[in-house]
Amino acid sequence: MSSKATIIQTNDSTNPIAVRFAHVTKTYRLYKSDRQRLLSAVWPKTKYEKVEANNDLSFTIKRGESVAFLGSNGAGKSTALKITTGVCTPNSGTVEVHGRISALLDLSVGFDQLLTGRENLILRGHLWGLSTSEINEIMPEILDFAEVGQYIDQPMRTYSTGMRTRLGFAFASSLKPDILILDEVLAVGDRRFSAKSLARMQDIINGDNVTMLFVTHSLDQAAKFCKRAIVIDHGRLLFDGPIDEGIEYYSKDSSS
Amino acid sequence: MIQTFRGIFRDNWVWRSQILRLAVTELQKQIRGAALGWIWLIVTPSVYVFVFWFALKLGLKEASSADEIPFIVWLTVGLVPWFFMSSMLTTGSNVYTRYSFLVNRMRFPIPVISSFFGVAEFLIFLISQIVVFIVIILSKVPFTIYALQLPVLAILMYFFWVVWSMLTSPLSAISRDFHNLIKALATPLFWLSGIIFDVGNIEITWLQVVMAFNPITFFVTSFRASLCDTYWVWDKPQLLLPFLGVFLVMFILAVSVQHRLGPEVPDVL
Repeated sequence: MSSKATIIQTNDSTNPIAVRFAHVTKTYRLYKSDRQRLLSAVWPKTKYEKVEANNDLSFTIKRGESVAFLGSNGAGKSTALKITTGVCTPNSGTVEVHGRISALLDLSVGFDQLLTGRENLILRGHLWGLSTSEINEIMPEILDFAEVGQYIDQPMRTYSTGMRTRLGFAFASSLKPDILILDEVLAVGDRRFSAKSLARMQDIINGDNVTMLFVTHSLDQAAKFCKRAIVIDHGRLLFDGPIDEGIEYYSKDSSS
Repeated sequence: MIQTFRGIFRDNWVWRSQILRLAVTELQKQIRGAALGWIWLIVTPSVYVFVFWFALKLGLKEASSADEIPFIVWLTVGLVPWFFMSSMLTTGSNVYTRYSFLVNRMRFPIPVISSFFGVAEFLIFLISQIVVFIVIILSKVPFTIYALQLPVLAILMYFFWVVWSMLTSPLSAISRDFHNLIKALATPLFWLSGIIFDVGNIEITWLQVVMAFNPITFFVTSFRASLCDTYWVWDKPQLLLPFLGVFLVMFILAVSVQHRLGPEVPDVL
């Protein structure tokens, strides 16, 4: 798959545009069987079914905006966030991202299951580009927020889903990124942690120039944090505008 | 494709400090859970060397290619690089599954995963090289000037197997069959590649030519050239040239696979 997409990625956090999608299309290939998939590696003309996860998607998110992505399961919200993060490559279109991204995708920021929580934080900190002293600086804050207690020195595979998500969220939100991407983070975790996370997200939004892309099924949360909503269905952009209208559109759309 | 080619070099340069850190983390992961930790990196190859020496020298009366060199030295010099090559051959061909969190949770250039996994395995190789030097010193075999080509060969071996990993890992990610195939071939390759016998003893000429195109044979033979048979690898074009040809072809294939399948890897993991 040689992609004809153009990807512009800079760390320029002064650019008024944070994220821009222009006619972005992402196609997943579904093969009938593992044998077909194997065949495709050597024979590019192998038959497959196309699923358009993002279909001619265009939007521009300005610096400092908080945008909620609404849509039913499988609408293509997560794919759009993955493309923004740079994890997956679109098949066509232009993606422009200015600023450093910290992302919580599928409830995880990318921790190694065999390493301990602390080792993971150090490793991920370095991968993000922090020095050892900078990591030591933010470590107490992360530990305090994540509340995993003694588990911090245990391998991640022994963590509960809640603990994993708490540590992931604490890490992703402590990095002071220019763009914060949160995919369904608050769906897990207990009430108390949700409240704490919401407070922190409010802090981040109130702070300087952080752009937030936010996927949720909780319309209350969307309304609380975002002034703008993007509604996606079957990979297509259906609505882009003020949050209250977006919620109204989405509620009407999903109930009909 | 040229863009992919340049991208691989650029990414490895940009992420150089992280490569080292990730390599150390990989080592920690491998040593984790064993009280003796590092000691096993020495003990495991030593046990293998002993077992093969016992079976081949005492059992089958096998001899080394250089008459004045004890068989145990000849065996150890060839066997220790094999451990590195064996790891790269099997585990190295499936690094994206091993490091899926780098592939689909954050922005990370996937060819670099092969690089740091290679560094980790290479560090283990350097440590196990201690076994080789102990055996050589105990057997009172002198080091010659030909030992100076060892670092060059070691670095060449590193790069060859990292490129191998860049070529095969996308294929393994896309299809498990491919990785199973490589795993199935690993043991036959051990027996066929002249690690525990001297390829020079094969009396069928065409088979000798075929063997020259086997990179494992090349590395084992050239490590023995440095420490046992004492000649410069570049003095034997029939040894060096087929290898360089294979390396070049593999490199082009690796860039092509990264170009064509690389973007697909995060979608299938």
